Amino acid sequence: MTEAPHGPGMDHLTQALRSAASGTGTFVTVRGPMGAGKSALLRALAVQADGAGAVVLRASGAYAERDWDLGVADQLRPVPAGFVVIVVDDLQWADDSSVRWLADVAERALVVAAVRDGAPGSGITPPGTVVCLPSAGWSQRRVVECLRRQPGPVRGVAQAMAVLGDQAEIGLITALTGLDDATAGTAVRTLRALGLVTAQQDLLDPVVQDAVLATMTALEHDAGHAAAAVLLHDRGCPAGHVAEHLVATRSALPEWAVEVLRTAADTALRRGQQPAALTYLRRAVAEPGPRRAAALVELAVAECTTDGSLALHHISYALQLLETPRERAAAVLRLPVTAAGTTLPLVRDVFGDVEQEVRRLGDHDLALRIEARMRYAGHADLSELIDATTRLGELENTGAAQRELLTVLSHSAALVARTSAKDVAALADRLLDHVPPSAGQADEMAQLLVKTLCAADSPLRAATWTLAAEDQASLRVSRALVAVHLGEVAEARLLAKTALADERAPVGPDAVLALAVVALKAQDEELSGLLLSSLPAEADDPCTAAVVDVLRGADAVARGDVRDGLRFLTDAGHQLDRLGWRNVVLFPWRTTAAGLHRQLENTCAARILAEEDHERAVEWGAPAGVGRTLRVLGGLTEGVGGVNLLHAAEDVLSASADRLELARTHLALGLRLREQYEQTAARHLRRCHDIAAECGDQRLVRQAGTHLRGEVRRAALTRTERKVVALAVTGRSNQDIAHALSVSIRAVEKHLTNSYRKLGVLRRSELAGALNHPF
Amino acid sequence: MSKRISEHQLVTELAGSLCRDSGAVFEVTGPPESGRTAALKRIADHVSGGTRLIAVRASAFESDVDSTVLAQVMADLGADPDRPTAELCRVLLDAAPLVLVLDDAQWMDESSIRWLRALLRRIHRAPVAVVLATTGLGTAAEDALAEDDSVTTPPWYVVALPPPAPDEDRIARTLHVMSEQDVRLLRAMAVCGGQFERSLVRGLAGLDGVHADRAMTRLRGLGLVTADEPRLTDGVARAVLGAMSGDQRADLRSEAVLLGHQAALGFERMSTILAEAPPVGATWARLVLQRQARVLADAGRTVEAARLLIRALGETADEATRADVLIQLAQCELDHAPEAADRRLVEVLHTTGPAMSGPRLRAADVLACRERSGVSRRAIEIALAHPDLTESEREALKGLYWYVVSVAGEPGELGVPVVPSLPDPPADPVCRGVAAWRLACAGSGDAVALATSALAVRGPLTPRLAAADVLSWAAEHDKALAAVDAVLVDGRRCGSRVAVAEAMLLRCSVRLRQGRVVEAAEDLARAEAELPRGCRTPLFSARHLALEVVLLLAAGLVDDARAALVREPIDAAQGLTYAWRLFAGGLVALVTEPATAAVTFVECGRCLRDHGIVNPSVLPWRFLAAMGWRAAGEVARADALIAETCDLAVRWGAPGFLRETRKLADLVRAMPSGSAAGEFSAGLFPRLLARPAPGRS
Repeated sequence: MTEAPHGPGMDHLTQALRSAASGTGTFVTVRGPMGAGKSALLRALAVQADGAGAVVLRASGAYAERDWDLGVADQLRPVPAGFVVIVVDDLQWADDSSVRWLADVAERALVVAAVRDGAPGSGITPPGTVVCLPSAGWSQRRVVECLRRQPGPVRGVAQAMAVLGDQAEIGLITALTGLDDATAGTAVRTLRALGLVTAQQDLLDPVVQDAVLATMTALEHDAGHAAAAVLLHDRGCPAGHVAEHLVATRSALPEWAVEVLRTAADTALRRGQQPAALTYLRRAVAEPGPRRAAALVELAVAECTTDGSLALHHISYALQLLETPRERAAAVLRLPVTAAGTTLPLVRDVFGDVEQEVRRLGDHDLALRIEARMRYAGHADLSELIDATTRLGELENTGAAQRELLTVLSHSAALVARTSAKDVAALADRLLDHVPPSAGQADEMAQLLVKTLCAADSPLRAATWTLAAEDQASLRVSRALVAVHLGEVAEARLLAKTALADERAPVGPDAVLALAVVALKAQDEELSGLLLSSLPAEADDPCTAAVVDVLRGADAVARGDVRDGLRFLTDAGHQLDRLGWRNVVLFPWRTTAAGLHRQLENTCAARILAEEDHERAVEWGAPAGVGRTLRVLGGLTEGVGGVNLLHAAEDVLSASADRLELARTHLALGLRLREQYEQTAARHLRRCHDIAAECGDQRLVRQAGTHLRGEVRRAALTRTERKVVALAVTGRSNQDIAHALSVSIRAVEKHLTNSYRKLGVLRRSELAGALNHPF
Repeated sequence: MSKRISEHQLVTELAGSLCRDSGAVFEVTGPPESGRTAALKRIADHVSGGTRLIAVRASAFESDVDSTVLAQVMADLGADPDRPTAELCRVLLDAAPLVLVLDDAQWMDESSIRWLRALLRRIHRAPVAVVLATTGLGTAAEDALAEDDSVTTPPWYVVALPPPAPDEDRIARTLHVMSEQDVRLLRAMAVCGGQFERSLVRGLAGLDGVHADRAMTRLRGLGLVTADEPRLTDGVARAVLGAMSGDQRADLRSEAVLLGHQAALGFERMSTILAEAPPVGATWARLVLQRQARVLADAGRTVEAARLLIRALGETADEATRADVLIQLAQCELDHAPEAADRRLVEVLHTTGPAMSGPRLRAADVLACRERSGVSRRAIEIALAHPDLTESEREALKGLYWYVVSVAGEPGELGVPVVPSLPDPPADPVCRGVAAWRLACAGSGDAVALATSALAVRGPLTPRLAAADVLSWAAEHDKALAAVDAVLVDGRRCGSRVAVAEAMLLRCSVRLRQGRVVEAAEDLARAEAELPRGCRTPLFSARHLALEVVLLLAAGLVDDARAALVREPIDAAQGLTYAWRLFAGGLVALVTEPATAAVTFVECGRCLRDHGIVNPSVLPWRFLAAMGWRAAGEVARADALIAETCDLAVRWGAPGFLRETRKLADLVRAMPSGSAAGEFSAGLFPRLLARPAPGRS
């Protein structure tokens, strides 16, 4: 039972109830469309009357009992004397005798009857007052029941409106139903009276629409939508509107339908409505005919960003329908190169056949372009990557097809890093010359080249390219990558976060990888967290999974869980190795892991990792990698050997684009040298501070600054004062210090007072902090 | 408006409503076999003496016979059912207090329903209780009976019985009473397998979205479809399919295949349907099966992949295409049916026909890698007997034949090879690779140039692996690795797992020779992953074992090395396999009991010589035996072996290997005898086998 309704309707009934209690009968009619709450109002009145001491009698009319003489009256007779309230539901279906009888009874009792507007028989006009209720809502079953009792034209119009949905306007409705204007108009009015049509727009209420569709057979449904599609098409409606109906029908489509679906899909794609586009294209594909292959290719292109392997399946279907090798090659080439990065065995299978055909055809360029896609497919497979490096040496940079393949191959070579970074960078540089800076959409070739150049520690060239290109969302990721390889972390963070926050351009798997590299290199936990939260827990492809695990490791470390972080990092790092992604510039996981081992005081493990890293860095030869690994090794090596390594790192890194690595090396040198060579140490710290400030790495700036201040202050102390302070901060008493230095207590006190003054502190406990020095 | 109650509460409410003179409806609902009738009986038992009880049951068969239920009720009351409905209602109301029990109300006929609805409008002031049992199948009667919310609707209580555990008989019985639409939907779902595209199932069942959704809701209510996602449980699918005739199943499956193809379903779903469907007779069907098999095999699901490929063989295709499927199938069957795999390849080799040259060569290539010499040799012999071979194919097959024969060390049943020997110098790249291998085994220095030229062409994999072997023996490590990497890529492309595993093994041994122990271990692990233990040939296992032992000893894990030896029995081994086994055993002995090791290594050497392998670079058994002899105090024997090795190394002529040999000779000469020997050789071990690469030391 719903709660008692209130409002003007109930007020009126309460008043009538009061006068009935005093012996005055009344007839009140409650009118409203189906679902307006008439029965609920009647039931509430019954409860109220019962409470007031009345005898309540109930009855209801029924469609099946319309001709049943005194059918309603029979439910109520005999009526006792006294305070009586009679409630009658669905009075529109009561037989005439019962209505007359009720009118009579209303002389001495309160009769409240509900009449459903729009239903057959609702023209009934009982005596007395009328309360009108507006439409309130619908249940599917009641709509079905209600419509079943309507005459044919009303049902037809309701069905036409349900099929047409938002496009239901009277002209279309008449055309679709085949009724004349007048009949259709009357039917619409009836539906409005029933409350099935929304008042503002003359459209079916969505619930009603569903219910009406449910009353139609599958055949009617299909025929309705097919007819609607033809109608809208003939009237020149936008392709999207027509396509909605083409999608809804399972009937065979007219010849123009596939074209309309493709146009609609194209429009939807350009508006960023990928799901709608896919629906249209799937419908187009389901239609046999000469254009099916083209539709399949378009479907594959549309879905390659979201489901690469399904895209391959569809291309494969298309290839079987296309007749000439050239057409097949063209279909494969419609897919972007990076779309092939998902399912290697499938790509080998599907593209391999086409490649062979094209080779037999003797079309060298086509073969190269298909090879580019197959090579990219192997970008997460060690043997393929090594083979790609070999292939790189066999090609010349002479035409567009060669350049495409060379781009992919140089990217592969950069990932596996088994050749010279300098050569790869030079090649990528030359290739980038051929990519126009403001291509309509960010060119995927350019993105690969940018990645290659970054991996080869030559991001400057890539920077000029990305800056010259128009400002596009898809370029932001590339820019972030370039910035982080230039050491400009602040810029990189900003760009990466903007790219992630842009909802119009969701980041694909490739962009996720690039952003992960940015997050790791910038050591930005916030960015890592953002990335992790935007990714599914289980990544499909092994590359994303490995990189995400590296991020998780960094995240665990940031949360203070060094052991867990190390485990994640090592596992993921080995996974990267297995994929063949051995570039130490892009994936410096060993350095991080070595640092963690060192924190856990496992110097041996740290050293092994650092040495492995260094070996790889030397093989690749990019200064950023070599310098960084030298620095790490230097940090792990005691004494002069360590300092020499750090100096070597400084030398190498001065040739690197990655300024931040240089800053870090200066910091390491500053800290290492400050015991013996204060001035040199201070100079290194100053350099670190300056570079870090240029790069916008606030953390490093603070770190260098704190050490630097400590050095400056320490420099102000005399040799003896330094000794005294050094002992004081270890907790020794003045007497101890005097004893240790063989001076008087008085002298110690004097040195300390002077030191306090010079360091600007008031008490002993602040000494250590002022120097920030691990005495 | 209806209120859910328990069966126990129902009995109390029923008695209460009769006492209060206000009628009520009690609906007991549950899927078939959930015990509705039993529940009605229990309820009826509680009706006390003063109350009249009328129990009637509707049936599916009479649901379109007018007034069946009504007539039974009236007969019970002694009234004539042909009177107007108003009077029939009164007759029943006059008999109150009364409990009317209607079992299987979902099958009530239309006039009885009309009467019942009229009655329900009139019982709110009478001591009449109506107890209904319904199934929730969504029949017309159930829809018509559903309570409305007019003011005269009596209180409506519902007891929902839980669905019984699914069992196939029950499902079969349920299928009998379901509407045709629902059955169509169920069948479509069953045919499409567990995971299906909604639109496909709808299309197959011939239902539009709205009707399919309603049918789905009913199926869910019956417990046939899982609640969270529309998926049939295994038992249901089996029962539904079992209840169809063979033809019906085949027809529906064929239709599903066509619809699925029309909708361009993904390969995974498509192949699920195709696997059970009768042959389609179209190229796309075979391609879908083959491609999905490739993806599955790549993920290690070879059994499923093989199933799809066997189904693919059912599609009509020309011989070359069929051969292509057979070769792919053989690769998948390696894991679980290696012999069947070999038979598939042999079948390809036996096939004659146009355009068979490529597939035949590929099959021969895979077979040659398989080292089942008898099978491969005979198959290649038969293939060579085809009259329509092209010259290049004949040469290539001949090369592979000689490789097989050389590895097996037995020319044929009659002791005489039936195939002419390799030309000298060979022109064909396959022959070159094999010839290079044979020359290298014999220790002839000409082999290196031949091997390099054989690798210039990316042809069949076996001869290229053989040529890479030669380069590794000549200490041309980088060239050998490049060749191996190329084989790996091509092997993966054409799906030749044995070649890939062989290449991994070779890479492992080259890395060991280079002293890159960690990477060698990685390669060995990958070879293991590529070819699980069960599907390795004896020679492969023996070579794998030797490399494993070397790696374990290099890591100082002597006990593990010993365990590895025990794990693989030595008895049945013969030929080269036996030599490798002996070598592995000798290595462990050299560390544990050095004085006994020499005998084992000498035995190993005897086997190798028997195969014509004198090249000291293939296995350094002479040096190791020399160490054994020295440990046993037999310096003269040791020196003789050392001298022999140096001579042979000079004859072999590879400069890198010569340098290594000289360094090692010095090491071997330093081997002490007696108790110090074991420790010495253990300490020597990583260096001894993980020899420093030229230029690195």
